[in-house]
Amino acid sequence: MNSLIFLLLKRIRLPIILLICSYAIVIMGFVLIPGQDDQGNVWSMSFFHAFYFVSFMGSTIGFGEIPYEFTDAQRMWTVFSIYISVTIWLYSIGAVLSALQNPAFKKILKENEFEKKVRAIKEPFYLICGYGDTGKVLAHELSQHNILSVVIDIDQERIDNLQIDEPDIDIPALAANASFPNVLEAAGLTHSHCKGVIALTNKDEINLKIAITARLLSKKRIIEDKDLMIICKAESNEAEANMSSFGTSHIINPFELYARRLALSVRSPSAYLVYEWLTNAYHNVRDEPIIPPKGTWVICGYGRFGKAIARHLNYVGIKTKIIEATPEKTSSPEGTIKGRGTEAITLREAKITDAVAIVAGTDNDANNLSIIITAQDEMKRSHNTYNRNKEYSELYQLAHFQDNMEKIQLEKNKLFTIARQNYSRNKHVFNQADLDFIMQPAGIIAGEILSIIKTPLLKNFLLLARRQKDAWANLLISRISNFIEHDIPTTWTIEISEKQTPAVMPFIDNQEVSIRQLLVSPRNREDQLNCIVLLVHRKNQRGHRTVYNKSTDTYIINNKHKFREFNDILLPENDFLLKKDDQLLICGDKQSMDLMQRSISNINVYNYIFTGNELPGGYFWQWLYNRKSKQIKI
Amino acid sequence: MNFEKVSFAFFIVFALTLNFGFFIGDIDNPAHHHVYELFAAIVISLIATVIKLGERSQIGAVLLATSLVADIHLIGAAIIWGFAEHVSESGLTPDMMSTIVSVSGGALIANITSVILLVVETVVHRR
Repeated sequence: MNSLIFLLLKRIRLPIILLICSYAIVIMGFVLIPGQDDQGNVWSMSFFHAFYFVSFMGSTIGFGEIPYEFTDAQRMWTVFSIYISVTIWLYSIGAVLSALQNPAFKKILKENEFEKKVRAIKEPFYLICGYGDTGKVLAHELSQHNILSVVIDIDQERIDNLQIDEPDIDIPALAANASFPNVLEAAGLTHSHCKGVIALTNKDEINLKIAITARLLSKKRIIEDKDLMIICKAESNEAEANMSSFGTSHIINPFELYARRLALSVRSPSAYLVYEWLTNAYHNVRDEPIIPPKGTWVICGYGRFGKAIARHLNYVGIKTKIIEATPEKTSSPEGTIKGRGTEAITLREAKITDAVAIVAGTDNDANNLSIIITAQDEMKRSHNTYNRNKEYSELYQLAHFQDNMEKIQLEKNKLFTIARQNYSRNKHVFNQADLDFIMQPAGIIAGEILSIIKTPLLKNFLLLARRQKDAWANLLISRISNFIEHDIPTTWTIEISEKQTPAVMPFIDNQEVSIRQLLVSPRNREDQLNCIVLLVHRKNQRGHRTVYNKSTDTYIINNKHKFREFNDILLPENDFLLKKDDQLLICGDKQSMDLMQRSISNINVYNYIFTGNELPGGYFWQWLYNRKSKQIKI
Repeated sequence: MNFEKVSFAFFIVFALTLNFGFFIGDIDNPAHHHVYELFAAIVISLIATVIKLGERSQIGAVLLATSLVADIHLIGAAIIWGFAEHVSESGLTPDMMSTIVSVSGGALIANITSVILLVVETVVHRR
């Protein structure tokens, strides 16, 4: 604020000096020029009268010639003064206005407003750096879940768009370079309510810088209670390794993530469906698992995406054929076909008709669509050729021809298609293109971050789930789809603690509480809620996460023994006994979530669930109830 | 040597000298204190104040403060004079005159402080 006033003062210095000078000269003139009073005597104005006259003349109010009518000499001076003072007034007002309109001044004004807003925040919030496609989806989803975010982006235009995108809530936003530490600090990095920093800029370098800054500026908080989460987007493996080396909580590489999921869907389509159900940020999910075909896959574009896909596909035993425009630069493997893939000739060279699937993974959306359409046309053409050949062979009785071709061609006249969609603005075109999978980095990253923020346990669950067999996933699907109709399941986390489940605590202390007793419907004791417990996250007694060393005033983190501190129990049975401080990951429909929230936080409701008795409410009834039970005992 | 520094020092010293010129003389004798001199002192003091606006250094802030004090004193003196001459029944009495001059004496102290600070700054930044 201070610098603001100084900036303004400096810019209006000259106009004020001019005003003072002109007033001084004009007043002096009126005092010196002799006039006449009503009797015709020589009379000269005092400073008081001169100042009075000039005050209303300069501001063009004009009360007339006061106190006596002016002489011609005085009038001449008045004419001169009017032009002088009016001109200078206009100039001064113009100068002040232009100082206020100055971009630098406006910027400072905006920054001040932003800082004030951030400082006034009284609820947990996340700091999002980068408001591109991903940031947009994430900010929107966070606001849908009533989580506040603060946004920084280098582009003023995008910040302006934010106000249009989210008209309902006031998200503090600033156009500034997020790699500057002071900007991050102004945006609330060191604010006590800041729950996490999310770096989503286009450049890995800047994301890295943000992560380092966050790590250093709030060193103590990270070590002490793991309060500040640092989430980074990384598109290259080097950046990823660099970020993880200094303790970034979550690093999201959209290409790796997608490739891993694709490999999962090849290996176990049902497991992939579970994955999609639980992590989807958009609320449109298929019911049936898609089964990607096994055979040769053609991958167009061997960039970061193509590399990740090829590696993961090879890992699950699928042959890949690569088409790349610049094989020398991208260190493509041997047998790579040079070309863009948008021309039929390149695709033919890659023997597209023998392949089962095509992945269009270049960084150009138009090219990706063109690749898919060309490939589909190529398939159609070869199919037609085959049909024509078949007719001919029937006509001329060429029996041997049929044997060769039929086997291959009959089953596959349709390609399995995957395209990478780089920009969310192209959504409609991609939806029209009839693709089996659309790889959309923005949605993938946003969904992943959202699940980290909303249900941190989901990551543990998915990690364990990935190792299970297809049959296990099928079982889970059938269990979940039992109670999910028309809607995707919601996941939420509860912790058995005084804060979150005050109603359950008395029972945990005295008796044993099993999962079944947690899932009872508060409406009717005989019914169960429409949800299942996916995971129980239990703290081990022995575990010490941070150890405070008094002599050196440092914290030691036992990262090596991390796996021993927590036990994760996957899909616990209904008679599993709960303990204090257990964290539960639950999946179910929205209604069940609300009902459960009611039962675990209200002692009366939960008492009914647990014992079947309604507890008396109010002091009088409690007193009566206690007396009654005493009498019975006697 | 640059023009900004010259004008800066010029106005500060000029404000002091004019102020002193008005102040000197018998305290209650109107003949010793001319109204033109007070007017000039006010104008120059105001200009000196504006010149100091926007200085971010510590000494700049103190200079601005002393200048503001001088302005208030001088304008106060002018208002008393105007009141004595035009509003009060008795006119410009020696009583009134001594009040005006003593108020301008306050401005003189402020202006002296200003000049001392200016000298100190000049000595510290020998360049």
